[in-house]
This record gives sequence, structure tokens and C-alpha cells, in this order.
Amino acid sequence: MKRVLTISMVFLLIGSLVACRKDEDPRDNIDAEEGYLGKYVDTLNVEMIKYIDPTASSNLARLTSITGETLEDNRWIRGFKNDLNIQITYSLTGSGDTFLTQWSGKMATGDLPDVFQVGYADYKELLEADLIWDLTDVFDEYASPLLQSIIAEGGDEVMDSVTVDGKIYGVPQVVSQYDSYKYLWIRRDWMEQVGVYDAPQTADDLIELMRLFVEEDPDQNGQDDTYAFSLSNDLWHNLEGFFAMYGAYPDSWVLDNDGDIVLGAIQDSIKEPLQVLQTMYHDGWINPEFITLDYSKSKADIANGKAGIFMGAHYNASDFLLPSKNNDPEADWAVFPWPSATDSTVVHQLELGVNSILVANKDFPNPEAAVKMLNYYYEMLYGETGDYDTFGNDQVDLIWAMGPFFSYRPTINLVPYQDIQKVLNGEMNVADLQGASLDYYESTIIEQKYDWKIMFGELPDNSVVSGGQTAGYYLEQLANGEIEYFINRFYGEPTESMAIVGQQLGLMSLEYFTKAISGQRNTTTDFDDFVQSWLENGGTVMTEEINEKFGD
Amino acid sequence: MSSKRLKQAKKNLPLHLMLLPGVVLMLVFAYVPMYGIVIAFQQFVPAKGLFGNQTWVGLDNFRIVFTYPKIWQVLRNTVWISIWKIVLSVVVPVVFALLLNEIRLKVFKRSVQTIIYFPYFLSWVVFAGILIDVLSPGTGIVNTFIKSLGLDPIYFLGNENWFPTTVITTDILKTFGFNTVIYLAAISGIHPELYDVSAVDGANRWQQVIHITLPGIKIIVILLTVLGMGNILNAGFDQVWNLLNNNVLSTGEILDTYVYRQGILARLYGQGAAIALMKSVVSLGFIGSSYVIAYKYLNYRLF
Repeated sequence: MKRVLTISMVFLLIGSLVACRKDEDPRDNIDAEEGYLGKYVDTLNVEMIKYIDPTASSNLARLTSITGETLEDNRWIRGFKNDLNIQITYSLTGSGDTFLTQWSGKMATGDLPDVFQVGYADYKELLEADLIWDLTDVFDEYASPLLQSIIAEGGDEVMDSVTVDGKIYGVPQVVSQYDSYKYLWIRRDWMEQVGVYDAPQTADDLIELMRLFVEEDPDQNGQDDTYAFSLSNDLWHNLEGFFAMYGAYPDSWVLDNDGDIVLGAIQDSIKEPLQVLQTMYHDGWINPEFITLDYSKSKADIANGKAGIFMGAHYNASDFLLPSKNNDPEADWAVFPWPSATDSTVVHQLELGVNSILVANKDFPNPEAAVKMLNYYYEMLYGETGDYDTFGNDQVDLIWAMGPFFSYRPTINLVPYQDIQKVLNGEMNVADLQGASLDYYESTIIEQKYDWKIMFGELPDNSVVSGGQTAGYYLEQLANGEIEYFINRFYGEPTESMAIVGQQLGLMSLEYFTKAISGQRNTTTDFDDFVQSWLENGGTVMTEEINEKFGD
Repeated sequence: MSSKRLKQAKKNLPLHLMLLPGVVLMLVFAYVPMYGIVIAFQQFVPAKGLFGNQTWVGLDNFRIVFTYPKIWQVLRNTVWISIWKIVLSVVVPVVFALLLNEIRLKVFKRSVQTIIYFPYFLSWVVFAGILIDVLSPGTGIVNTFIKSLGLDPIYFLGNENWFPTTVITTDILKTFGFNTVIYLAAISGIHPELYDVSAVDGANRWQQVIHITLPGIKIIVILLTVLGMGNILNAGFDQVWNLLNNNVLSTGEILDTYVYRQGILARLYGQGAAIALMKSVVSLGFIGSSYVIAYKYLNYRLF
């Protein structure tokens, strides 16, 4: 009933749009100083919307109690006013479903802000409805070298993803594509306990280690109560890396041998790793209840010392591995390189690092302000004249997320990691640390936070197990190409048939994989049936569309 | 207007005023949004607005909906689950109310009534979280009991054969307390003299239930059943969405969760509206026909 009410509310909120649009050259209206950060002569009022990241909101509350700053009036807002003479106001702030519902309502009533962030689907709709500025020329003229270099850090695909017929109607707000790399975290104290002192060299080594973790009572409690690794029903987050060992990519679009783009989930390469997982489940190596364990509930297995291998993101050091350390001071997590199950090296699947796209309303006469604001945002955080201490992480975390944007440079974790290593090696003085590097150094080395240490600092040196590293080590390898990866061949807004059947086909994969792992489906004939059914229910058309769009 | 009617209207004015907020809310939230039905016939692009220049596509949305993968399976699941829910949500509370009514110890009766009433106030998000733990095959108390009987544990929420049963049972568990209270109220409205008179005539307890209590609450039972028939395509979004997992989609995915995925998550507003419209039409049909049946054969009068 509540759902019906919400939907009705959305429809109710939907109203009419203003039909007429101005189409003159926007640059006639500019009255500002020269340069990427030229200050406007008259105060320019910019109406925006602000999606508050849930983690940022608790930090914001703390900041308010310390300095009295609020979302509407804080150092960011004042900075934009003082340095650019741009006054930012928010016509909508919030988070979660409520924000999305209200945003849908605003969009449908044509009540658009001046400068705002949207997702790919909204982006496509807005430009087709001719409601946002073509920013091609504005971007060429105003984007600062810093802004351009940050966007370039995300790869060519970032700009491609917003380019329509050679023009861009928005500026991508990047985050890090490396954040989607899946790390192989293993407890070194358990390895020691079961007598393994080296990193697994082959997939078989890794599986043997899993067997030992299940059968050799690594927690020494005399009970047969451990699993090979922790698994939730959000399969891909845990299993992407595992499948990649076999050259299989269950939730990514890949290039096949003929150069066509195909979905990884329906390739024959899936069968072998899937069979391995099925055997593991059958032998009791995997939590038999993973079907009803969602991502956050699966934390318990790691925190309670039921699993010594975790396959997931670097930031899971905070929400998965830190609780494990708190419960068991012996816990000693390290990242190991993924061994290969084939003759070639492992190639990983990453996702495009774009958080949202910044667009400018056609009714707003100063579209260049959008680009200049981004210039300013990045300049303050990463530029030479910037002030990371104030704008990045002063007194509370995530100050950068309290400004009007949610974006950070793709190398945000890499550079501080490298700087910290230089300091630890004596190649750099602590006094020379700046911005994010100094901030990370404080959490990692001075405050000795465990999760930060295993991500960007150094591992405890009392382990006799060799081959383990911090997460940052792999970040560096990703960045300099020592770990091979590709960006998912599909990105941007959904294709026509993908919009209709994409959700259902994704579920179909998850359903089959869940059932195959838990032994209710086999990986031979049932796999063929799954592929057949996937193709027949719209997969064929979807694949054709994607090849038309992204194929050469 | 005669002065008598004017007087009566004046007397009833406060009552009508009290009715006003309800009517206004009804208009705003139930009637005005009906304009949104037009979306079902459009290729709806939100950026263009509800009154904007949308493309009209006739019945295309309805046609596309029936080509959705697994739509028929989803319909079967929905009807199967909701029929059981409709039937059991009448039978269980009626039986329970009759049993509870026979209890003479007031304190016991009241406490049972309150305890069974309690889950009704939990939201499904909370209740589902509790159920996942309670029904866990490894550590849940239900399976601990089953195992103590020497039987194999049952994965109630992870097994596709058990999932519909689990959904139906837990829904009844959550709501029967509320309905029991309604029937108890109806029972207490029966004149006690009827029981005294029948006792004089030599009727035993069982005969009293059959010939006095049941006929006494017949009208309420029929009313709630007729209203319940409208839910034939509502198998309970909040409940199923919170309990559903990828392993039980073949028996557990219902129309509402499916529409949520397609209409909201995949942003196919036109097709979502088309399904919602069809659902409303079917519900109206069921309510209408069950009312006609009750009118003709059970002498039930609403107007």
C-alpha cells in the first residue's frame, strides 16, 4: 500500500514543462575575470541539488557541532562565494529513496536546477528533450589542465561515455576505476597455523589453502566450523576475482575471439570455476546459508573468525576486516596476488569510474560556471594553490563530500600510498607530505588505524608468511600496468532492449549461478539451458545493440 | 427545503465537516493521481513532463508487458500465494476468535489477544530480519526443534519449494492477531440472551457456535472476504521483497516485486503503469463479482 502511495505521489508531482528555450550563444552573458578560475563581477547565483552520501551525513553532523557549519553554509559554499563570486543554493538535499523520488518529481515538473549532477539515463533523457547545454566548446575553453588531467586518469572511456555525436553535454565526475578491483585478502596467521608460508602460485594452490582452512582447524578451537571464504548472495562482489583466475567474467561484457562484445556469464569459460565452487559448496567449504546472507550480513563470518579468506574491495578492510581484528587480535590480514588457473596471466574486470555527470540547465545563462566550479573544486583539493587540509579532511572525515560535488581523482588512494612508502623508506620527509598524503599518513602511521595500515601503510612484520602486501601495493601495480585489466565493454546509458529486459536477464544469471553453486543445477546441460534461455529472452537483441554501439 | 430538513442538516454539519479531511485526502491521493493512467499509453520520458509532448503508443506497453521474460510464471506465483493468503486470513482468525471466545479466564484471554496482535505492528523490514534468523537452517530455533525430532533441517527461505509456504504462513502469523480482534469484537456484539435462550432449549457449546456465533459474525466474514478478493493480484510487496532471494525467484517472484524492478529500478514508467492499470481492473472485477455473489446468495447488502 505504501508503495502504491509513493508511486501515486510521483505521478501527482509530475506537471508541465516550460516549452520555450533560449538558444543564443551562452558566452555573450559572461562578465568575469579571465582564466579557469576567473571571478564573476556580479554575484552569480547557482541553484543546485545535493545528494548527501550516508557516510558523509554523520560526519557533517559532527562538523556542525564543532564549527557550526551546515550543508548550506560551510567552507565550500563560502569558498565558491569568495573566490569565484558564485553563490550556491540547494533546491533539494537529501539521501536515499526519498531524494530519488523527489528528484524524479522535480525532473518531471521541469523544475530543474541551474547546474546539477545526473546519472546516464537522466543524461540521455535531458539531452534528447533539449533541456541541457551542449558543453563541448565551453569545456574546451574553460576546463583547467588539472580538471582535464583528472578526467584523463580515468581512461578514454570516461569522456566517451558522455560523448553523443561528437559532442559532450555534461562533464563526467570521476571516481576511481581501481576501486572496483577485487582483492584477495588472506589471514596470514591462519596460513602459518596450517603450515603454508608462501603466496599461492596457482589456482590449485589457492584451493588447497582453502581446503586446509576448512579441514585443519585454523582457529584451533577444536571444532569443524570454518569455511573456505566468506560468500554473500551478492555473488559478484565476492566472486569476480575468483572467476577472473579462470579468465571468466560473469558480470562483465567482454571481447570474444572474433572481436565481438559478449556477456561473460554465458561463455564456456564459466563452467570450470562454477564447477569448482559447486564442489566446494557440496563439501561444506561455503556457508550453506549464503543464499539468504546479504552483503552486510556476510560480515559476521569474517568478524567471528569463520573464514580466513575474503575476496572483495580494498575498503572492506574497514567494514569486514577491522571487526575481525577487534574480535581477535591475532588476526593478520594481507592481500595476495591472484594466481592464474590458466597458462596466461590473470586479467581483471574493472568498472568505469564515473560517479555522475555534471550538466547545465538551458535556462541558465552561464553554463561555463559548471566547468569553472569543477575547476575550483579540484583546485582546492589537488591543485597547487589549493588547500586540502581545509577542504579534504579537517577535523572530520569526508569534508570533500560536503561541497556541491561528489567526485575525487582516480589516483586519490595511489598517490598517498606512494608518498607514505617514500616516507617509510626514508626517501621523503614527513614535513613534505601535503594534502591527502598527509591526511592518510596521519591515519595510517600516527594514529596506527589497523584498516588504514593494511590498505596504505605497512603490514605487521612479525609474519613468517611471504608474499602478502598492502592493498596500496596492488593499486600501484594496477596503475603502472603490472596487473592487467580491462574496463567493462559496456558503460553509459542502457540500450533500448537492455532497458526492458536488462534487469530480468541480470537476475536470470544470478539465479542460475546461485543454484549451480548450491548444487541444484549442473554446470553442463543446465548451463546450456541457461544460456539458451538468456539469449531467447532478449539477450540476443541486447548483444546486437551493444555491439552496434561499442563495436569497431 | 423544509425547516425540518434544514434543522437536520445543521445538526449533521459537524459530522460532515469531520468527514471532509478524509474526503479531501481521498481526492488528492486516490482520484487526482488517476490522471497518471495516461502514462500507460505513452512512451513516457520523465524529462518531458506529465503534460509534456509525450509519444502516444496506444496499447504497445500492454503488448510489451506480456513479452517480458517469465511474466506468466510471475502471475502464477502471485495468484497462488494470494489465494492461500485470502482463504487463510479468514479461516485462521475466525477459528482463533471462536476458540478464544470460549475461554472464561479474562486475564489469559486478554494477554493472548495482545501477544498475537503484536507482530501486526512490526514493519516487514524488521519482521523479515527476525524471520531470517529464526528460520535459519543452521542456528534458527525452528530448525533446532526440527533437528531435535531427528529430521533434516529445512531451508525455509532458501528452498524454492518451501518459499511460498513460508511466505503464506508468516503473513498469516503476522496479521491473524489483528483480524482475530475484529472477529472477537463482532462476537461480543451478539446478544447474550440468545445464548441463554438456546441453553434453556438444551443446546450444547458446539451447537451454540454453529447456530448462534457463526451466523452472528457472518456479515463481517463476508465483508472482509469481499474486500480481500480485491487483493487477488497483491501477494504482499513489502513482505516478499524483504524475504526474496535469487534462489527462489521461480516460485517467489510476484507481480509487485516484478513491477518494482521493471517500473522503478529499470525506469519503464509506461509499462509499470500499464501493469498497475491491469491490476486495478482485475481487482475491481474480483471485488465486483464477489459482491454480486454475496448479494445474490448470502443476502449481503452494502448499499
